[in-house]
Amino acid sequence: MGTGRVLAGVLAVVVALAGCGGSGDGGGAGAVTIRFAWWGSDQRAKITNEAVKLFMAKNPGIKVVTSTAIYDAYFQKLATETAGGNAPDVMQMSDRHLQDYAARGVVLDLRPHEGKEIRTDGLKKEVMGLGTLGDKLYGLPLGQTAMVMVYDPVLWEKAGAEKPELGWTWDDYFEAAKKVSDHTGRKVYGASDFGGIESWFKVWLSQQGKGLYAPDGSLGYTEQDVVRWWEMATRFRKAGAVTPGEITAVNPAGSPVARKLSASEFQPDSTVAPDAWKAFDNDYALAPPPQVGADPGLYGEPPMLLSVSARTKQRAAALKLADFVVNDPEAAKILGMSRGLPANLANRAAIAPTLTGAWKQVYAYEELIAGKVKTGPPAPPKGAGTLFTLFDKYYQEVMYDRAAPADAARRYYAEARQVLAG
Amino acid sequence: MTRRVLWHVALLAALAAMLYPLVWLVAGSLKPGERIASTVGLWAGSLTLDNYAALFAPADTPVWRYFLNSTLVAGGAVLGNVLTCSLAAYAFARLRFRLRTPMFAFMLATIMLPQHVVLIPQYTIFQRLGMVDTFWPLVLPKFLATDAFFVFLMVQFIRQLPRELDEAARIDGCGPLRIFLHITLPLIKPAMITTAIFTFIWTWNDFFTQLIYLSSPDRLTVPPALRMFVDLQESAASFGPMFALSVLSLVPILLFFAAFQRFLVQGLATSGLKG
Amino acid sequence: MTRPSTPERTRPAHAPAAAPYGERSRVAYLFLSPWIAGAALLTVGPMLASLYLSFTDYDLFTSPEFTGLENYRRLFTEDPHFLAAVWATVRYVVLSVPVQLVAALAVAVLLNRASRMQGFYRSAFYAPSLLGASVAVALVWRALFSAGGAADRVLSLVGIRTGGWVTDPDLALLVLVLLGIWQFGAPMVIFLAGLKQIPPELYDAAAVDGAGRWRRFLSITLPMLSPVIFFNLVLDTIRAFQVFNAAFIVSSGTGGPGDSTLFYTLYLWQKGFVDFRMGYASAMAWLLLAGIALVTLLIFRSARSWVHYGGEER
Repeated sequence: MGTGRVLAGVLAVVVALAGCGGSGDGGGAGAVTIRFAWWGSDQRAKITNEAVKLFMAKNPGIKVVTSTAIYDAYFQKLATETAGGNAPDVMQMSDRHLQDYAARGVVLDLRPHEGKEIRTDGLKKEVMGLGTLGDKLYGLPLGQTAMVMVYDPVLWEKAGAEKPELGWTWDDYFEAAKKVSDHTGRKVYGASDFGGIESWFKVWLSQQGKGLYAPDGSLGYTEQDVVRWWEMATRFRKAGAVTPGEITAVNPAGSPVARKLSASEFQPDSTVAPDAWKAFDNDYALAPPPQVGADPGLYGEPPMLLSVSARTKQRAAALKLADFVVNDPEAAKILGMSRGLPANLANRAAIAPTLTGAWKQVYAYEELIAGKVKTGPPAPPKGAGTLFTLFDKYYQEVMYDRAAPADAARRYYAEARQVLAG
Repeated sequence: MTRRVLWHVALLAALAAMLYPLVWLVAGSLKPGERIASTVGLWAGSLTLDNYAALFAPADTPVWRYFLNSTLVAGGAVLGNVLTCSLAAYAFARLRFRLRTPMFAFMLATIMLPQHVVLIPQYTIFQRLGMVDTFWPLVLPKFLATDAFFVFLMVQFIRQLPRELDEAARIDGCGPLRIFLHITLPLIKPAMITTAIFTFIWTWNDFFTQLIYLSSPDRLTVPPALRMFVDLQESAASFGPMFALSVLSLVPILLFFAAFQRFLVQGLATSGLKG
Repeated sequence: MTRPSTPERTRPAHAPAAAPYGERSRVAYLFLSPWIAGAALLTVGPMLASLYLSFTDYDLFTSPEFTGLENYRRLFTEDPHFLAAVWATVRYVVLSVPVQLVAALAVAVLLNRASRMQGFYRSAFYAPSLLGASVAVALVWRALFSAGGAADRVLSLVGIRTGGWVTDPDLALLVLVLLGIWQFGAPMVIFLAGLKQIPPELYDAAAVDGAGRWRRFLSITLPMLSPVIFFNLVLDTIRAFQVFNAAFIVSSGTGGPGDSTLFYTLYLWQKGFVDFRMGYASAMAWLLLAGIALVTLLIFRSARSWVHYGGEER
């Protein structure tokens, strides 16, 4: 083996490595590249990429590289990127993680840019709080969402189940869902199991005047609350009113409703895709959640925030993109309801008449509940992101009958307190 | 005669079962996306190249970029390992020096060392050096002979070579470096090839290090790029290209294997038996 | 080690073979310089550092804060996921390693006969070992064992409805175990090489004594092969303790459902690189090292009673 050849090889690789290991801003003259990342469905990705294309057309000097992932993976990845000091320039942020990332100095305080590069005067005041920590503004609201129940009205009617109306109760839900399951011989269940979804636990707590977190950042509910919630879910499950574990479990083919194994499901209305019900001949409807008392427990809050990296090398471009996503009227037309009602009220009014299909229904739903929604709580404490995952993880034990609700709740609650203690 | 036939039948049946998942993967990459996961058989009614077409559709980061990155990383790793492991192996096998015994023992011990024990400080070092999200953390350690397994493999190999050649060369006035370059290196070619192939395949398959060190889309190698498909909301639209990329990601390994399987199997057996 | 019997020539005066160190020592260290640098900077240094970090609270962004044994105390007394991770890993090792070795040995014995096809079979059985660690194959496994996936459909033909192995806490681990066993080619190749070194006369003699196939396997093959079995057992066990890719891909990095596939290395990654509890993760790494060392030691201890080293070698 010739030494010269080996050396040449070494050199070639070193040069290649150095080339790729550089700062990566090797674009054309004057062109600036920024990264924009979010989580969500294929639909949201398609729509957001369209809006980004428009942004690039309007700002020829800026190239935006986008990436998307599902929620869990998004935050796994964001953690890795943060550790390397390499967070995306513009990133979708969850309120549950905001405190963590703000404490690590990952996200930029937008307050100094407010009214300049970032316009917030057009944004609905009530949804601004979630991205605010103290007097700092770490995240812009990306819309406004409320929880909603989607259901198959045709099947419900066939089964003789009572139509869900504002003010209906969890017992009504139990009866209705059970009727659907019985009607189909449990081929299609009346509802998807909701026990592990922290966002719905939050609604249920809110109906009783409680919240996930107390103002001081500790847990806002008791262990007994978790027991009661999981016992209710278990009552539903044991009666066949909701899907059994193996159907509820995460599935590549989608949620139980998407797989036509369940006739109703809870979700934030910002996740309803415009053509969500194509597979169901568009015969789907939205309903408010069942209630404990007189309060539906709904919050009108941003489904997510938009943050800018504190370490971005292209701050001007990043701020421009952030402002564009939140405020631009043309962007709003493309983005539609992909992240709930637009936070910018002018845009909200402008897109309302243009909505069709499922989004039109979402808009109607938001109008129905408009008088009932409460302003959401402030950004939750550090560790909230972990608790969100833990809540589901412990419920899975209940769901598979491996633990009694009381037992799982005890262990969940103990760990949740530990997580919050740090 | 019947025994022979039975033997072949038994082995072929076992083989068919073993290789089925791989064949299913390849067949799946040619099925329409929505039917991949749910068809047990290899034939889903129609054959399509759509998945591959979708994979190569224009994107911010074109697919070939992942392969280029993987090739650079694996190529760098191969070069580093072959170069520095053979140097170290020669010293351990042929040269006498004061710390030889403890150093050799230490080297052997590191073969068994789980990488997690050094992971976090290593990560901190590379982070402080600003090397996270570059290829350096993946390649640099190979240029420092950290893959003790290959050092050991080559030590074993060099020890089998007749010492007469070294002696003769030394008597002719050759220094250790020349002996190494002109006598040892040509003779340990099989061990070097084994090292090169295993390094290539292991680096190509490696996911953990690439997962923690690489994040920018244009710097991803093939394994984390594949993982991106897992992270999308799974749907027919992402399933097809995911299978296509899976198939393509295995091709280099299979090619290497087909070309060098003789060395691979030998190298593996040697390392196992002469320990 | 026999010295060459070539006629002695005059040694160059400056390189006396008798002088053990000095000049030649320096040359040796030159050869070893990359390795020494690597061992110091990337192995010994980091090992000491991670041992220290394991006694600290460290988040990568601020300086580590010494907390004594707090991480270890938490691991053993307060962290249910840690125990779950240990349990999942031990179950994986205990289920996959022996079956993999038995399969490897069985196929090796089956293959060990004169045939032109032997090379082909050996390579074909070996191929999965090379591919099995890849993300691609883990993805295939995930697809095969998902709800409505191939495994599900085949089983429903015989009336068993599982509704997806990957999402069932009782079956998810089995998916990973199967993937582990599937890669029996590597130990098989080593077994095959070992089988070839058993002198055929031993079998001939036994055949004359009227020993049947099974008897010969038990009294000749197994004892003669025991050093190789030992080698494979040690190697496979150490490897199995560190499996990551498959669990990561099949559970999307969560170790779910529940904690059923939360392998030790996966949990270590979560703690270190998602939660940034680097001190905690370092403590886990040292416990992993201790665990592996302990298990290896136990295997070595037990070896005295079942590993037979053949006569002429030792």
